[in-house]
Amino acid sequence: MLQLRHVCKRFGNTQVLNDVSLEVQAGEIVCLLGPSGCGKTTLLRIIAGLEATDKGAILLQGVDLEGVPVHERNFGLMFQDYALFPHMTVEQNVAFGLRMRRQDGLAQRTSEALSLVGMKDMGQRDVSSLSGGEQQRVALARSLAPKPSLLMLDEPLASLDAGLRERLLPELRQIFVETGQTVITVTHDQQEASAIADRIAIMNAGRIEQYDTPQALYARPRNAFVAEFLGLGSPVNGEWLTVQAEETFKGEHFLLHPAGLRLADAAGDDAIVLEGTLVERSYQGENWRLTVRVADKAFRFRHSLEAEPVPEPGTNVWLHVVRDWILRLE
Amino acid sequence: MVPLARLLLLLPLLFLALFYVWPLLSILVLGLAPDGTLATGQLRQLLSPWHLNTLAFTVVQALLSTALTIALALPAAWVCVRWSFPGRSLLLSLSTLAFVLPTVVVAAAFSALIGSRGVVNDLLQQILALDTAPLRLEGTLAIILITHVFYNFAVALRIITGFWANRSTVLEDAARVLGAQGWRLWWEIRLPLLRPALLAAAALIFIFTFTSFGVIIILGELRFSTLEVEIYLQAVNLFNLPVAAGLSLLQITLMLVLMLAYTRLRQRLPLALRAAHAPRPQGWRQWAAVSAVSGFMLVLLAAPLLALVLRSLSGAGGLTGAWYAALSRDVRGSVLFVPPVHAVGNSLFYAFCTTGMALVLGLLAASLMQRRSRRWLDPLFMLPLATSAVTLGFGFIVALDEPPLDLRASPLLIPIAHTLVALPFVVRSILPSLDAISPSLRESASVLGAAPWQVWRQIDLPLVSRGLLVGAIFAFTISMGEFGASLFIARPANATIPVVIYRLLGQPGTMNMGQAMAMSVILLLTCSLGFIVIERVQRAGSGAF
Repeated sequence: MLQLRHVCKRFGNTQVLNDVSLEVQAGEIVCLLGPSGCGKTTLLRIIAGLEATDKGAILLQGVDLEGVPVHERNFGLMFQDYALFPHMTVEQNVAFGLRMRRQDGLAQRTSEALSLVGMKDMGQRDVSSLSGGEQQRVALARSLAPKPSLLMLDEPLASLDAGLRERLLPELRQIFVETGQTVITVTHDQQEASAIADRIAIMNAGRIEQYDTPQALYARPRNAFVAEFLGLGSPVNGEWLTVQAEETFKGEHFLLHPAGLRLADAAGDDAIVLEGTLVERSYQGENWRLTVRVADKAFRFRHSLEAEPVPEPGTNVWLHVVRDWILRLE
Repeated sequence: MVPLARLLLLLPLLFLALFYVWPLLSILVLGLAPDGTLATGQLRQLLSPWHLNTLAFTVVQALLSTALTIALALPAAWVCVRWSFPGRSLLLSLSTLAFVLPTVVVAAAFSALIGSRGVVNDLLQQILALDTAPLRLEGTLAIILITHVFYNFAVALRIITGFWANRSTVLEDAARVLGAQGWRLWWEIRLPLLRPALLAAAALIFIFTFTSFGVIIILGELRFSTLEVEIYLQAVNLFNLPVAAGLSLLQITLMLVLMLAYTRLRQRLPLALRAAHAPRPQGWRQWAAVSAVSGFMLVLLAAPLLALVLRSLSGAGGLTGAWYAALSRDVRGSVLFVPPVHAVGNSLFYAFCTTGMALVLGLLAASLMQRRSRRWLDPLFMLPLATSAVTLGFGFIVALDEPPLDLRASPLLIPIAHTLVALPFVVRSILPSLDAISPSLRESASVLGAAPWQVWRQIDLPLVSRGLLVGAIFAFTISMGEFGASLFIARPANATIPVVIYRLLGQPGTMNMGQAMAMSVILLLTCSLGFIVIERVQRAGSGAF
């Protein structure tokens, strides 16, 4: 439905977006995930038409959006600070988009949008009297009410506390799925991204490093940045691995994926064995989290409670690495 | 943005160029090269003993007024910060009202109080059974200084109390523990700490009194001349335009230096005046201090205004409304060509025009500042504030009297001058509320389908309405009270209220005096009403100049 082709954007000397291409299907929920300053918010603003591209094209259903002004794009954009109009009530805020676009059934669609976010009886309230969570809901209802062809959310939960965030996440996804809404959301939090998105685009320094489903991203990170950003550890090079494993590995970067790390020989011949020291262990309720140092590198992984007892830190251990989880990175 | 909107934004710059820069340049040319070639003889003429005397008197009276105001305001500020007592906020408001009143009203009020035909003299005559008025203050330095104190009391009070209210008392406590008491506490700690506030207040009061025009020309009875008065006399009475231009240049240069100094000093001060929480006075000494200060403030600030109202209502036979009734008649022997009530009509018309123009230009200027570099636009739009009204009026006469810009006969000439004076205040009222609108609000409205003009109409306009209201009242009251520029450019038939008051005050006879008092009361009420509304509206927000 939406296609970005080789989009570039420069602010002064900084290349904010560098050859970004992306495709979003109708009804799909896509998340742009990356550290702050990676260009994800700029990308949203470019799609919305608030910024112009230097190069590249944005196509909606095959039609180039170049030259279509912001207010004629029929998109929704929810700002990080929600940008509720302080001089209007909740209801007037939600009705604003319908009013500007002269859409029919104003009253009915306003109350529909409000009940969708569970704020049915608060239409007459002043927006300044709302809590953070309520403001977030009103902003969402305001974006949804005109039924935008594409809804964009900039860090939708960033200004809420952790508990509220966890409660609202599944709710948000459910609303989008129920209404069949096409969504692009932006976040720097990987848990939030995996909880809400069908596909995640990991961004770094103005580029999209990898665009895939959450499961695929975790199972097969493409490069060192993605692996490190998702918390899968840093890659080792082929020479290092050859020395440690006493077996030849040809290639630049290998990720020893935490899913394939064990203390005990669980996989038999399917694993390589490295000699190391247990440097840290922390108990995390359902399992242990262990850190084993091999030569100059540290590896973190989970260790099931049912498996054999964990030795004291400082003990020399054998680290087994399942061969299937030794991933060759770009 | 559409090109039309862009052009609209340039309108305030065009206005400044035509009606501010062009007149000032004309003065410059007239002062330096009246015949097209650079002539220095002109400037040398300014060094004559007469002009040097004028300059010396201007500086001396400003210094005396400043010192006197600060000396009297300091104890008042101390009492107002230190204790909360009944009537405190009323006194503070009263002092600010005094500051915003038109000069002619203030001059008329002091005339009504301590002038030779004033209330005090009447009382003294009755009590002492005298034939003539014992107090002859018109045309003395004393009455000028007292009036300047009345005017600028609020400036000193606001700056000093603002500074003290934002200060903690830790340093004083420390000094006390170390043994400082009484006058030593003042001399070693309080006054040195207060220095930046005292300097800023002094600079501002010096600027105001240095350019004092209405007070000097009305109460000084032409026995004293400041630079400002001299420009007017040279230009209008002697028609010596080059000399007037030379004096104007001197005035403009000195004002720019003074404003620069003040801006520097102001930056070191906290901006907001917070109503500090203060205890009630305790013991008879504290109550005595509070009573002395509030009594003094009440007499200084309220007595002239009360005397004005009283005088406007009293004739030979006691209370009368005759002066008000006479406003609509063209009394024989009057100095005016038209009944004074016409001036009320003129003033109202000009005030409405000024309000309209100042609001449109102010809103455009504020929007321009939001979009473009504020660093040079902000001082640019504040410039008229640093130029005296007389200089502006003089510039209008010099620059706007020949085609293509011959506006001498235009009914818009006076509103244009008033707009120039009001514009800095209007911009200052609008800008903070415009700044407070987060860009994401506008962008949000855009994404939701609002076209650029709808964004402006639906988001910007409602959110600056408060600032617009304050700006409108500023423009209206400034226009109603403006004196210096109007005196220059108003013709007899289109004189404004302040000009008519000035003419009436300069004439003998109880009828002229009574009418002047009645007109001043009308102006006083208009400005007080505006002031009250502004105070109410601004209480929620902020906004200082």
